[in-house]
Amino acid sequence: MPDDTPLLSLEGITKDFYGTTVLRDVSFALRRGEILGLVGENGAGKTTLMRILFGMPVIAETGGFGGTVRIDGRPASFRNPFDALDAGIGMVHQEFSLIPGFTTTENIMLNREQSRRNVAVDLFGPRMATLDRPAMTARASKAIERLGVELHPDTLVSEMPVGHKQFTEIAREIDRENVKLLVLDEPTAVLAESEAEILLASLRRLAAQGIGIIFISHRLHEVTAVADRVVVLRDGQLVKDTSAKGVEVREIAAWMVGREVDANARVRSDRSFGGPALEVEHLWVDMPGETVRDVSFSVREGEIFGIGGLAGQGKLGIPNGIMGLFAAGGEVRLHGKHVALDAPRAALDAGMAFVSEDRRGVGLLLDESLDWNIAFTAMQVKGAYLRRWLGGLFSLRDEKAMRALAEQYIEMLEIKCTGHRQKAKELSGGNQQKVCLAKAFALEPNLLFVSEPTRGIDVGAKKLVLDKLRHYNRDEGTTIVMVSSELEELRAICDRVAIVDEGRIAGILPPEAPLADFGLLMAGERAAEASA
Amino acid sequence: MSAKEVSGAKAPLRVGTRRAAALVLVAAAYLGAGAWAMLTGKSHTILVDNKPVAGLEAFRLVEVAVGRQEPVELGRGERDKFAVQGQRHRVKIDLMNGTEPVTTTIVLPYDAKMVLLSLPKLAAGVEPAWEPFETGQDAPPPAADELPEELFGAAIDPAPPESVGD
Amino acid sequence: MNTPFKLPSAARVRRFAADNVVVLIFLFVTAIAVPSSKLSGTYIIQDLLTRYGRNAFLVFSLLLPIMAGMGINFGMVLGAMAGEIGLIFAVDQGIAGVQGLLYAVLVGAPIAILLGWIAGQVLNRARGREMVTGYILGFFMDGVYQFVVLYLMGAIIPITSKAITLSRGYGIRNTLGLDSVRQSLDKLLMLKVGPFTLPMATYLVIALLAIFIVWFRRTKLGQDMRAIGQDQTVSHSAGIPVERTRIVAIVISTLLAMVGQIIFLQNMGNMATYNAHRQTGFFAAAAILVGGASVAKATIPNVLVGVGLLHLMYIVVPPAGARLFGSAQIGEYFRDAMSYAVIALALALHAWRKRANAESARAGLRGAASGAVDPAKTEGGAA
Repeated sequence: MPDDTPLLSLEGITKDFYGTTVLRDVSFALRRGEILGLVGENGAGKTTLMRILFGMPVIAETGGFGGTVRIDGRPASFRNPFDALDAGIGMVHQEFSLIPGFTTTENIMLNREQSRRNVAVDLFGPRMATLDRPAMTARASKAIERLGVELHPDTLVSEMPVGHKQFTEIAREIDRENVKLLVLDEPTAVLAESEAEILLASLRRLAAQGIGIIFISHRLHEVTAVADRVVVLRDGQLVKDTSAKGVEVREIAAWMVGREVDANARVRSDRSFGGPALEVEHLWVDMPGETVRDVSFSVREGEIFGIGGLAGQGKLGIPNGIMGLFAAGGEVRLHGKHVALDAPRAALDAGMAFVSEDRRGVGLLLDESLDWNIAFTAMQVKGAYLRRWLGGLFSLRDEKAMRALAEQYIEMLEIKCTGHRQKAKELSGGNQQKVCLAKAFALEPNLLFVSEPTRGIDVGAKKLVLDKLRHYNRDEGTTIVMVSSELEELRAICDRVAIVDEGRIAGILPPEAPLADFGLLMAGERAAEASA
Repeated sequence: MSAKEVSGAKAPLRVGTRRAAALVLVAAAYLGAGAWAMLTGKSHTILVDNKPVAGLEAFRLVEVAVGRQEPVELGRGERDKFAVQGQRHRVKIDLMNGTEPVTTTIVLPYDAKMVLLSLPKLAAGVEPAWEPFETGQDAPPPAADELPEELFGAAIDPAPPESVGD
Repeated sequence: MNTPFKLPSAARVRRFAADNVVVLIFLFVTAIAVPSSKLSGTYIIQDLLTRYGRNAFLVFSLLLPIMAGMGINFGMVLGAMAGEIGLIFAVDQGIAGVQGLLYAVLVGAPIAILLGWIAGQVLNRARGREMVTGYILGFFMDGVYQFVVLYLMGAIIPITSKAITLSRGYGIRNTLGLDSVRQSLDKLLMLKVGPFTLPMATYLVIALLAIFIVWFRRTKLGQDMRAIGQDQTVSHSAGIPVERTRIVAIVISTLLAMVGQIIFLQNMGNMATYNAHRQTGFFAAAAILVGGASVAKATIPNVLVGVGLLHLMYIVVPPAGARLFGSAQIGEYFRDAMSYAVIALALALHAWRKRANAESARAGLRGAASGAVDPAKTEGGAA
């Protein structure tokens, strides 16, 4: 590049949310016509970094950020995303922001329509101008041409294949006259392989026209294929900023997940398992943001089975779908018996229990006391802790039995509380989580789903929760399926770990497998390659 | 609203004044239309009266027409009425005796609902030939005022049976 | 994968029927009633021609809110009230003829704009529940209207004519004679074609409105309304002022309803002061739905077809009831029930379609192994 002032330079960007540092001293620069691949696990700080770049109000509301953003060498601070757009920064989001009933042209020109004046403009303001459709079509065609794809300007978005929708979005961003920097957040996530190829070719074309591109993707092979440079974030820090030339996917995966030396994983050879406890075939779950597309796996009796993967790939959808909380389909068998989906009661009756990741929403009755919380599901499902009167015509709660139960679990799980009558909402996050576990244990399930058991609780409580799970598995022989974003904890307690990517299981690894292998699976590489 | 002008170049400076002018235009149109509707739409009743008045004789037979309405014939002492809109009206009097019909223009005040127009005065050129006419009764008040029926209040809390009229 | 999916003809018929079930049921009932009413064709056509002039304008006022994604604007009764207040003043001031109508429109306009703005504000706070909110708002405003017309008019608001005031000295009488403006627009330009008389001036006003709506759709504001109607979040992130645009849609709708009610009442020739507006929203809604519109999509042909069909039923069903059951009243009950059923059916269908679309969108996400449908096809259904 002849001009050596970088298009964008980030200098010492630091950001913390309420005392938690999410970005620490991140600095890198982007030149014109350069494609920069930005990779990192969930929570590595990619999203926050982009929010800072775009001047999202949430950043200012949480106390601003440290460091400087420079565009063309000049410090820039945007008060809102529209300022960023005016400065020539475009963003293509993971979800489509298109109007389905509008044509390609109408979407590309959305709110930038070209129009003609008329008398009504003087009377009622500029919005009364009539649209100049031929001019709009011409401009949209120009943007499409710049992208180098085949896209008809008059097709309705609702009738387009997914790939074309993505191109329409990009065309909308590059239609702006002054666009010089384009940020694409997981643009290929919804695309088929062939469509992704075309998209990558378009990006190269745009870069050749001098537009700087930040390409965020968890598909690492795409990053190595298209990017000139790779920047890796981990835990809010920049861990690698290197030319993409000669970098291998495996290396990036290792940088992304971190520590090559790994002390946590322990080999437990003394474990033995029975036959298959849970068999899942071609499961799909329509859980918003966590769609499961086609998942098959089998869990052995007495096993702790881990499910990991990046956020939004569908790992949370699996337990929620099997437990009937979201619309689901496919075949699920527990000990060889078919389990009806779409019916929470059927799943509970089959002997499965679920500790939800949504503690406050699904897991707890916040305004009720602990004993009531712990006994509630067991009472509903098994009719336990009820005393029958008049031959079962009435049943009343057996307060004494409930109290005994609550006290048993308060002791066993070391729940810190003032007593079994305390309300659930008054407990800390970690103790609430223990109540959720107690509630599931009280069902005496033969299969227990635990979803994000350590989310939002402090380190001490984390260890305790994980230990209790392990002990419960060891002492009761209960099969446990644990879903977590924390790869470390999955590897610490699970017998096998499945990694979910794009709604499918990318592969199942033993916990002692190298970290880079897990990283590769998360990056969309298939099992064959990873376990090589 | 259909007139179109293609403006290639923007004229940001003039938009303010254009806008102001346009708003003044809208306001003027609103008021103008209102004034037109009020002036030309206002209805008056003209009672044409063929009675002797202030020393003037009544006509034996007279044919009178207001504006373009059908003429009416009045004998001595007879009276009829015309419903008109607007304030300025041409009144044509034909004495039916071979003389040329006389056409006069009368202008009524805006707030006169009903005027009594004396034909002898009009024919004699007395100004004004009309006088306001007050009947004292505007319209007969209805025997009993019907009030609007209740909404669903009546459905939950029905009125006592005797008051259910229909 | 992406080859265009062809429906088998039976499925296509079923799909057409599902999309037009409201219209089809209506056509069926009317087709039975027309011959059994024993009304002459000339009579039916003349009556229809008159009713077009009377009603079409009101129904047109529903178009813009539907376009802006706010469903059927049951709040249009607010506009009808504004029109009635305008007419009360026109009658009180003794302004007759077309001028009287113009006067009523000029008086009603600021009231309609104010009421429309209030309604828009309320509906913006009740997103996704615009229809029921607008409907209840209509009831509430009916109370305010009663208070103003029954207690304030003649007491605080000057009313000069004793002929329209209650004998107690304030409040407007239950029935307002509109003799001074009766059919003044219809009679302005009457065209006789064979046995039929056509109120051309009224038709001209309606045609102008239709042209306005066509033109309006092509403006920036119209485009913004269409965008908001489909996706508020996307429109907002594109910088379109969503709330303002929705308010404008309601204000225009209220204004049009005001004019529409005046046209309606001049044709009727008298006005039930406290009742005339109560059913306005309902009948306009029934008409547009019978015309094949849904609460999410409506066109000018929907209005024209719907007004014709609904009124055809209104004309023929009572005499048919009289012949078939010996009582015209049964026919009258029946036609009312039909109109309400149409609205209920259309609303239920809309909810059902939304769910069916969500379902097929979901099917598109399933793995190919689960025997799911071709995603390229179902994507379209998700819209």
